[in-house]
Amino acid sequence: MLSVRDLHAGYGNKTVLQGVSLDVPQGAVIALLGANGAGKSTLLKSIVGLLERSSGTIELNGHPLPNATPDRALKAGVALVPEQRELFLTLSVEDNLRLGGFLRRRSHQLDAECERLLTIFPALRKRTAQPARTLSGGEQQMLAIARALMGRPSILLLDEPSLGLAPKIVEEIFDIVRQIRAEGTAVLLVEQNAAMALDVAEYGYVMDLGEVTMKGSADELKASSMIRNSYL
Amino acid sequence: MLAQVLVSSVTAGAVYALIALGFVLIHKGTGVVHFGYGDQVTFGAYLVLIAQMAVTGLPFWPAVFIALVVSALLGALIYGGFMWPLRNASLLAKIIASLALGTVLREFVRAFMGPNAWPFPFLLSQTAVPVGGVLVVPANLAIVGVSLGILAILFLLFEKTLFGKAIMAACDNRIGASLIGVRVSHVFLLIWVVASVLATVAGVLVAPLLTLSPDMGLIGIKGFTAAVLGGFNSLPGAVLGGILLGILEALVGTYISSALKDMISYGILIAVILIRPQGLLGGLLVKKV
Ligand SMILES: Nc1ncnc2c1ncn2[C@@H]1O[C@H](COP(=O)(O)OP(=O)(O)OP(=O)(O)O)[C@@H](O)[C@H]1O
Ligand SMILES: [Mg+2]
Repeated sequence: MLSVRDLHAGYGNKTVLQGVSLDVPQGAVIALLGANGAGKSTLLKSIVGLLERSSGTIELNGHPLPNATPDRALKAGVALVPEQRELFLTLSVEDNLRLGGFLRRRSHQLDAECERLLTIFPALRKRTAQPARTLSGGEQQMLAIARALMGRPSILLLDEPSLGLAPKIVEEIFDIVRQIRAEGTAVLLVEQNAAMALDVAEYGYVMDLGEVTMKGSADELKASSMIRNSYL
Repeated sequence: MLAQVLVSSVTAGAVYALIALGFVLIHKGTGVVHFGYGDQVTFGAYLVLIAQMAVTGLPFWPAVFIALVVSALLGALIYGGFMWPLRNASLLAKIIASLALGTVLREFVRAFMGPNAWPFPFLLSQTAVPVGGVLVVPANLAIVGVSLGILAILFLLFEKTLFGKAIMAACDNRIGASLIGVRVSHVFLLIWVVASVLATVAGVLVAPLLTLSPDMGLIGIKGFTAAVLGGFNSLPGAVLGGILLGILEALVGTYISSALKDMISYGILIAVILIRPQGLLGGLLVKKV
C-alpha cells in the first residue's frame, strides 16, 4: 500500500537518494538493510516529510503523499520512530504518550489508547509520571514506538530500534514488531541486525550509496552470499 | 507594617511575573533572550496613547483593545520578519536582532511621542480602602487581579490542555513535535504573538505605577531578573521569581533604603548567576514544564 517511486532527496544541494523505489504491502514487515551512510534514515525522513524530496512520488493506498508536510503524512497514516527517538525529554512519559495522539485529540479516545499501549509496553506503566529523560535507553525506545502508535498509523517506519540496546531488550523490541504486525499495522524496519530483521520480515531491501542494490524475500536474502558476507 | 509592605509589593511582583513569563516563553520557543522585550512593554503602553491620538475621543478601554491587537500583529511581524528568517542563524545574530528591535521601538516612541513622561490612567481608583487592618488600593488590586488571571489562564493552558502540551513539546524537541503532527512554525508564531500581547498587558499595568517615558523599558531588567531567579526555563519559576523580587524590593525599600531598591535586581542577578545559575526551580524545571 505504501509505494515509493524513483525518489530523490538530500540535504541542501547534496543529493543522497538517487532514485529509490520500494513497496510496503498492507500489514507486512519489510526489512531495509544497508551499510552506514547508505541513506536509510534519509529515505524514512523523506517518506514522512521531515525532509523535502526533490523528485519522485510516494503513494499510500493510491493517494500521493504531499511533500515535506509531516502532519499530513501522519494524518494519512504514516508514522516514523526516528533513529534519535526525538522524545520530549522534559515532559512526562504520559504527556509524551498522549501527544502521540495530538492530531486525534478526543481526550476520551486518548485515554483508552494510552491504556492499550501501556498493556503492550508494561515497562512504561509505572513510569507514567516521570520525565522522559529519566528513562533507560530501552524504555525510551519503547516510549518512542508507543508515541508513534498513538496516532494509529497504518504503516510504522522504525529506524534502528535496537540500536545500543541490550540483547534482552532487543528481543523484546522484535516481539513488539511482531505484535504490531499482528494488529494489522505494516512495518518498514531499518536494522543493522540483519539476521533478526530477516527473521521477522517477509521481504527485504538492501541499500548502498543512495540506491537499492538488492531486494528479495527474507529467505532469498538470508541465502545470498553478499548478505552473508556483509551483514550476517 | 510588614503586612502592608507585603500587600503593596505583590503589585510590582505580579507585573514582574508577567514580564518574566514573556522572557521565558520566548526563550523556550526560540532559544533567545529577547533583550528588546522591556521596550516592547513600553511600546505597548504607548500604543494605547497613540490609538487615542489617532482616533479623537476614543475611550481608554477600546484604546487598550486596539493596543492589544496591534501588539499581536507586531509579534507576528517580529517572528515573520526577523526570527523565522534568522532561525538557523547564530545565537549572536539573534541577540543582536532582538536588541536592535528594542532600540527601534524605543527610539520610535522617543521620536514621535517625545522624550518626556506621559500621564497614564490606573485601571481602578487610587483611593486606599482598609481591608482587615491593611490598606488596599483598588488600582493595585486590579494590577494583581489581571496578572493573576492571565497567569491562571496560561497555567491551565500549559498544564491541562493537549494543545498547551504541544506548545511545550515544540519547545522541547522540534523534530519530535513535527513527527506527532504539530506545525512547529505555527507554534513559534503563536509564542511571539502571546509574548507580545503579554508585554502590552504588562505595559498598561505598569505605566501608571512608573512614569511612561521611552526609557520605561528598563523594567525589562526586573522581569529578566525574575526569570533568572526562577530558572529561566520554568513558567512557574518565572512567576515565583517575579513575586519574590517584588517582595524583596519592597522589604529593602522600606527597611533599608528606597534608593537601594533598584540595585536589588542587579544584585540578585549577579548573585543567582554566581551561586545558583540553575535558578530557584532549576532542579525542578526540567521535570515540570
Ligand atoms: N543532516 C544532514 N546533513 C547533511 N548530510 C547528511 C545529514 N544526515 C545525513 N547526511 C548524509 O547523508 C548520507 C546518508 O545518511 P543516512 O543517515 O541516511 O544513512 P543511514 O543509511 O541511515 O546510515 P546509518 O546506518 O549510519 O544510520 C550520509 O552520507 C550522511 O553523511
Ligand atoms: Mg540511519
